[in-house]
Amino acid sequence: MIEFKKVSKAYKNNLVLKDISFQIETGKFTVLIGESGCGKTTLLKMINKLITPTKGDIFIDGKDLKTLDEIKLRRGMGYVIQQTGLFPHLTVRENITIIPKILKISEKQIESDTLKMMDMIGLDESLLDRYPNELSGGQGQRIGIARAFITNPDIILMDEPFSALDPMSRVALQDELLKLQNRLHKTIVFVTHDMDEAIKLADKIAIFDNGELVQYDVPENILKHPANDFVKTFVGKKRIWTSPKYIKVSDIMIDKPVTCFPNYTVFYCLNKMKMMKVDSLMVIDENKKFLGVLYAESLPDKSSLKKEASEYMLKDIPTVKKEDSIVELAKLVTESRLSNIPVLDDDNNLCGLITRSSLIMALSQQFLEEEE
Amino acid sequence: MEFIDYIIQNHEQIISLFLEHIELTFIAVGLSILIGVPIGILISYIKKLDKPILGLSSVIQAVPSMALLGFLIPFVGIGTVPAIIVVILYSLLPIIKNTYTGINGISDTMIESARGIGLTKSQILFKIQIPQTLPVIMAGIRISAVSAVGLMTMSAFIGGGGLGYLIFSGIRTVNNYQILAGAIPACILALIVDYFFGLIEKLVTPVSLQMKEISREEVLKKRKKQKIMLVIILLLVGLVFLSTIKVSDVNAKTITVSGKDFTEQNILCEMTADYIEANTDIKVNRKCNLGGAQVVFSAIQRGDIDLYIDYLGTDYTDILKYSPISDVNKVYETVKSEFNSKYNLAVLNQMSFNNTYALAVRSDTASKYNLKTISDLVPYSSQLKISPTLEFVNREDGLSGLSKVYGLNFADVIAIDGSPRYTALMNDNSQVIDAFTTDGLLQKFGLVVLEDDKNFFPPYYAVPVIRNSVLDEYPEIEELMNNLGGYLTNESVQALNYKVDELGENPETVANEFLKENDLI
Repeated sequence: MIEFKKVSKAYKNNLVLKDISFQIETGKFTVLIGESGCGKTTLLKMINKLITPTKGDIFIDGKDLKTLDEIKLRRGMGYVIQQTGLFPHLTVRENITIIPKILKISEKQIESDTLKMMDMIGLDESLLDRYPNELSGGQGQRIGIARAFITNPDIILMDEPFSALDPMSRVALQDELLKLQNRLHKTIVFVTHDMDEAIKLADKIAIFDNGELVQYDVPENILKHPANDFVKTFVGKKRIWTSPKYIKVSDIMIDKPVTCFPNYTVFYCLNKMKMMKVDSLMVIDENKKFLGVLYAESLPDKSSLKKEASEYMLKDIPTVKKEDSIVELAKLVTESRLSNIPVLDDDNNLCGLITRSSLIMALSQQFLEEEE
Repeated sequence: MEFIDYIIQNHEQIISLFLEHIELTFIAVGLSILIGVPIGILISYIKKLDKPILGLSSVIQAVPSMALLGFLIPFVGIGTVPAIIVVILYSLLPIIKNTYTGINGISDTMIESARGIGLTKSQILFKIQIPQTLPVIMAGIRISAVSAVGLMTMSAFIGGGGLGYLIFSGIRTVNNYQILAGAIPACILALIVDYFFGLIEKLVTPVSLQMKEISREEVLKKRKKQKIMLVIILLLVGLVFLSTIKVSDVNAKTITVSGKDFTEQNILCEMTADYIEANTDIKVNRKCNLGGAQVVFSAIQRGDIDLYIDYLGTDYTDILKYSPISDVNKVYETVKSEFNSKYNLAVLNQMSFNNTYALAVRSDTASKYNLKTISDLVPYSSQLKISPTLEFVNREDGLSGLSKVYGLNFADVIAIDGSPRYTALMNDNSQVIDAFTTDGLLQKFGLVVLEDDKNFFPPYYAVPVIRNSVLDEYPEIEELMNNLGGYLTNESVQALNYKVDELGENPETVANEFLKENDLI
């Protein structure tokens, strides 16, 4: 765990970080984001002591950073930066192995580690004797990642590693980094100014504005509940549509569907439909437990007006959970061709209803917001 | 094809001077690398120092090399040491500047990346900064090395040896072949040095930075060839150094004989050396052709040299600062006693020749104005230009005193050092020059010497000057010099000078032959 306690940084009279306190969790992918000059990179460089705080303390696993030897500390951390991070006069192999060689790890071990790294980042061994200027941007950045991972550090710091890449390689590298992280569970601290990248990669996002930490939360909460106007504009209203997995059924459902109890008469139910202008009723018991749906069209003729609703309700219809994402919902709607889908909680109690129109309303929201 | 003959005749000397030149140049460049690169690195780290140090090395660069050399002699004496120091001082600027620029040129991001992955300061310097800067540093060293070859020629002025010896004694004796024999090897050496450092420059450039125009395979192939060439050149330089290592015998009886930088002195220096060596068991170290009067005198004061032959008039007026007089005995006694008391130098008996100043004109000028004595010159002096040596202009007993006594008033005074003034005279750029009465060039160019009818010029009898301590140790030298002095008359010395200046013979040979002819060795 990396813990910042009331950390400030000033250059002369210019306060670039103001009283920052937060914790970066072990094994999580934390993204620091903000506009340029917001202090995110300064904060990152404090972790490996490239920059010293003017005030405040930083602890790594409870140890005060001030007491740690900076060279040892840095060698125990991976550090990846933009394309200039590789040394142009050294081959790929020399770049990757520079620290292991200084640490006097055996040649054999270094060689096998190097090959492992090349395999991990998906590059051919033949590239090992190339020079950085013979590599594509994406390859170069992969080598940068290999150099950071070869000493198997617990913490990896990444300073806008992908921002200079073309969109295709960027997406590919993001995917691979995610795969790596899912396997290795390092504590990754990643600086970017790209919100899409942050949402895609982060377990937690810390948003900085003008030297202050304005919001530190999981991506979903940042998208749905921006802490202030800055976050709202920074995240962008449409942003959530680029990650629809964060839109939940509960966000777009009708909270109070029209219901009835199973012992109500058909007559009563029809009247209620007419009054509420709906074509179906959700049948629940006294504890709100979902029992079925009563559709107007499936009711027989007037002879049955006195019978109970339970006789005509449909029981085996698809339902969704309120935590399900809009993606799963859309799939279900398309497959089942149903117009109404009840939303249940974990105890199978009815908590809402999705109708075709509510779905369309929600989906059209992004276009309407654009016009605002 | 007299030039070829000259080369063949003197090839041993040329080769040994060439090797000496290589050695001096490599020592100087090597040392300036050892000094310049760390300074360059230092000022790239300590930014406060960069401007003062770069400024200082630029200032040094702007000082004329001769002035710097003259300035250094009182502190470090004569010979190879001051020459190497001057060349080092001149070589520093490009090396310091390129090192500084190179190291500063590496982006901060790169350095931060190196720090970020956990390299220490020294690891960043040696693994990142220097390897990336080496091509730039080498480019600076290359510039320094090539100019060092040229600069090193002036080492000959202060007895440091090298190809400058040929060039300057060639200029002095108006011997173009000798000049070329010094200048051509110096040019060739400059080209070799340029090629050599060019090779290193390419070899230290990271392969990755050479791949811009050609493929990696070609780079690697070229490198192999370059490495072979480099090894060959290094072996050759190594051989040069080995060949010049002399087995020095510390206990041997050795004295150093020297002389000023003109023909007569060269002959006297060689002659004295040969004569002493042949008649005693003393080993003589020769530092002939050392420099002007002041250079040689300060060298003997410092103990860099032990014995040379000076002229009474020079000692009396120039060193002891008396006004010139024509009383020979008084001049001799004064010089002898004051050199002993003031400088701890012994002045031996005066030799038989008097190499005093004279004015000389071309024979056609002499007949045109009917000139025989200096007084004859007075009515015409305002129409004539004189081109004396710098020393003659500055001396009490030189041009100013002469002009006063005779009432001379030349149209123009164009000071030209050494023998080029004879060329100026022959080209009619000037009509009068100063000359020494024993000067062989007077005969070579068929000049008329004007008689000093008012006895203005003080006596310039030659006297051996030796350090007292050396004379105490080798008292036999006094008798030898007394004996030799008897053979050196105005006529014999003029003949000797004539042989060297006009016939183009070697001072060494001429001196040796003279000793043999007179059964002195």
